[in-house]
Amino acid sequence: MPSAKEQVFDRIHDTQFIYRTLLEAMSRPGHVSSIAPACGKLELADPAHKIVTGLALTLLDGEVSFSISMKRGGELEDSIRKQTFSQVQPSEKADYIFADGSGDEDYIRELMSSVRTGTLLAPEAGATLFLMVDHFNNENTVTDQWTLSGPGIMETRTLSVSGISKEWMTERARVNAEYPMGVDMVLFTPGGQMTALMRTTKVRGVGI
Amino acid sequence: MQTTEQKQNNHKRTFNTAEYNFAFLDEGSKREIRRKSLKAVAIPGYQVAFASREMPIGRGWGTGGLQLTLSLLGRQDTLKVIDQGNDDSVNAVSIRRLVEETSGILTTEETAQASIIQSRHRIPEEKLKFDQILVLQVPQPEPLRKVERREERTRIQHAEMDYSAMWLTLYESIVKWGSITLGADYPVMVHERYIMAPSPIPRWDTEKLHQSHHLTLFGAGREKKIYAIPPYTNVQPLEFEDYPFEVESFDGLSCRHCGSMDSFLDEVVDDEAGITIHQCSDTAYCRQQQERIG
Repeated sequence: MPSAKEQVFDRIHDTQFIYRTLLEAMSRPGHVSSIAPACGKLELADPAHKIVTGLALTLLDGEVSFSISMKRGGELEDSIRKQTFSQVQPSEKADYIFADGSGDEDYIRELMSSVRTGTLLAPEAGATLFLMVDHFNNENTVTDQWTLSGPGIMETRTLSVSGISKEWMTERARVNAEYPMGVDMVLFTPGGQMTALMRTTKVRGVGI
Repeated sequence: MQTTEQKQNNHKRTFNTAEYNFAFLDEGSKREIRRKSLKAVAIPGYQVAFASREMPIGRGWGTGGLQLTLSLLGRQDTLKVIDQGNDDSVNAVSIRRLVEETSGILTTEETAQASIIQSRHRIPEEKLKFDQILVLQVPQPEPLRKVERREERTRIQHAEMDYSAMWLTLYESIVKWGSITLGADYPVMVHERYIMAPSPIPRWDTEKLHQSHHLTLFGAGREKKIYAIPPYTNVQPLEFEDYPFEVESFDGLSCRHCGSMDSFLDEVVDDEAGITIHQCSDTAYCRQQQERIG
């Protein structure tokens, strides 16, 4: 018997909350928001799996495909496929890709050289890439900052991220060079914080 | 089970879950519209095709905007619906009632109190804030349709950024009439990439889309397209150096109700007196001004 106090993930209202947070994040790249209030209700042991599952329940169904390359991703992939009926595809065919922000450079290069970026006629077919990072830092305490500009940002915004390989950013700049084609990135932490880097977002910073 | 009496008592803030899903649309439809709206935000001004659903109002009566609104709505939201600046027109009232009945959320006529504003052909006079979302209903999403009637061709023209036919039409208009004769739905260039139809808002409102605080979503139900302008995005009306873009002029005119001289005015012809009088098109703004002056 579930207790009345225990909060259960609501497929209507919690996915609506996650969608609106995503929409807000994508409308304002670099702005950090949180989907923890909704994802925290999912009964999963691994906090990162809660966040991925919450995003998956919001976006995925039988009409789209996804791919996961994270720790214990196989298990997660299976559970998401069963819950959403979305197709599991290799990353070069997937609409939505979930991956670790750390990860070796060869792997990142391989994924990013085959990722879907859409076509001039259908740029919206470019993939959405969700990367798990460690955390977003307080602006005042770090020197390794990125400066973002582009649609959704009034002049510039600064962002600092721990736990992301620089290779992701180098490759991101490469695949987004031919706008309107490109990939849209969402960075998230196991704690449920997230921020978006859209294909229109210009990122300047150390090593990028 | 509730008795009929209890149901009537609760009528104002509850709705019968067995009859409709929250906010009318089924979750599968919402999910598709949500995915498409996120891609629309990713590519400002680009028209993303979506599977427009059958709605309980006719296509061409705001179904695109309504589907976006219903997909956005949560229990915390407050909705405002306007039609040509008016909260009380039949279309606005019908849409507002449909949303109220199927979601039980609050609605308002005050621009500042709304978290989502669905509008037909106007952007409120009051400057929208960063936490508000504007949903515009779009009858014809394709700005190039005036110069090319085949969808297949206009898609290629957008892909190749081949806008010569559009520019030529504007030029011809200047040669023939001495100025660009387009009124409402004045074409704009978004993020220096796509020419976009801002929906039939007057030119007066066009500049409100440029570097705005708020997100604007556009929904065309009949034409099955969704597009967006994120906040702080460049939106430039098409113009020539020697023929700059101009908004409607109301020089020397003021609203007959509130006296406002810096709002978009509607012309009303008084047949009996044989005179033309003017009043604010944005009724909520007009009421606010009247209250202020007492």
